[in-house]
Amino acid sequence: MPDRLDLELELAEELCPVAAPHELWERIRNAAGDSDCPVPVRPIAIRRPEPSWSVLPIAAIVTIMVAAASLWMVTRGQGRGIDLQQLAMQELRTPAPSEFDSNDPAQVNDWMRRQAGIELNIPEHTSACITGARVIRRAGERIAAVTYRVGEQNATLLVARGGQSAHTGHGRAQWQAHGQSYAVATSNLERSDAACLLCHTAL
Amino acid sequence: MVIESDRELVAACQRGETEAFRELFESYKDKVYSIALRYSGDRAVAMDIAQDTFLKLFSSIRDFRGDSSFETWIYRLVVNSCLDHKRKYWRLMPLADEILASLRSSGDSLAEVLRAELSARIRSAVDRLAPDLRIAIILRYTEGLSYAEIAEVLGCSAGTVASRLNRAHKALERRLAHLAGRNGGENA
Repeated sequence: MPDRLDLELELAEELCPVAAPHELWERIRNAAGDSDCPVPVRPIAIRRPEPSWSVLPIAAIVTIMVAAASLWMVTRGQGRGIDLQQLAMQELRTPAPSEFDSNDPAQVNDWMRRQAGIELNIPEHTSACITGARVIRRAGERIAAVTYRVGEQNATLLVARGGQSAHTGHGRAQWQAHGQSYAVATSNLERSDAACLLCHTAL
Repeated sequence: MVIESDRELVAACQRGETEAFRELFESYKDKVYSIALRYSGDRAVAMDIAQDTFLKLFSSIRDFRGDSSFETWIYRLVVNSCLDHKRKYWRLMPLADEILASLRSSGDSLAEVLRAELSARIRSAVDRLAPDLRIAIILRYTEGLSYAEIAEVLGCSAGTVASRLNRAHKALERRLAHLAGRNGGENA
């Protein structure tokens, strides 16, 4: 077995820093054209080809197929393909670093509204202690993640726009309200309802 | 205008000075790309992660309040982008690719070929680490961060960092054990 020193030397050599490719900045500038990024964006000229009558039937068929598939997925409640409940458990078990460190509900609400377009409405006098917030990007969706503590218990709340049908289970919960999907996960399965104290004054 | 520190640079970005964004990018592009590449093991994926990180950085820089250092903040952004990134595809037989590439290079000595194989196997072993262990290893060896600095980036204790690095080292030693035996034979 390689001893620790050899391994560390090998790792330092193999994982050494590298220079970023020159085209990275152009990629970012071009991508910023579709976001609210403040980077000055060079307008991209898009040449639109003249429509050809021969492709119209094919386009119509494809459009109908896509619409049918979308409708089928929505009716099955799998529009995003994201299991919010499972993701909440994953966030709780292996929390990623927060992007916004504040224990002020108003600031967290405001930050999340601006970053993810999601309304949290955590009350000003919550009995939970917020420890951080971040935005998870999955499958093109922005999901709000708020980590907090209730007593000695760690908890995570995830909120996404739209979503699946309501469901509750032991030690974790998922529900829908006001056009948003919610899921909470808690570290204490015996007192999982304590996670609700983020937004409720009593259980 | 010469921008002398991150603080001034960030303040300039927060005021919306467009040149400052480019300056900030130039200051941190190699760090961000290095972490993304070492985490993903794939140049195309690393470009995606780096792009996501900078877009996130530019769009949220007004929220940076200086509670932690700017460097810590940008490390957090790239770590989150790495952890959020769903691997689009698995490279098929990455080791074979690397080894064949090295063999195709005419004039390579046996020692160079063996070195290339060792490199490929080390990278493969790192790629197979669990995400939380891999990111700790990369912050340690790619960026040279201390345990305390890694702890601040990952939002955990230094003890947790030590534990993750220890577990990662043991896993890597286990996976690379056969190479040590072979290298030892060559040296004898």
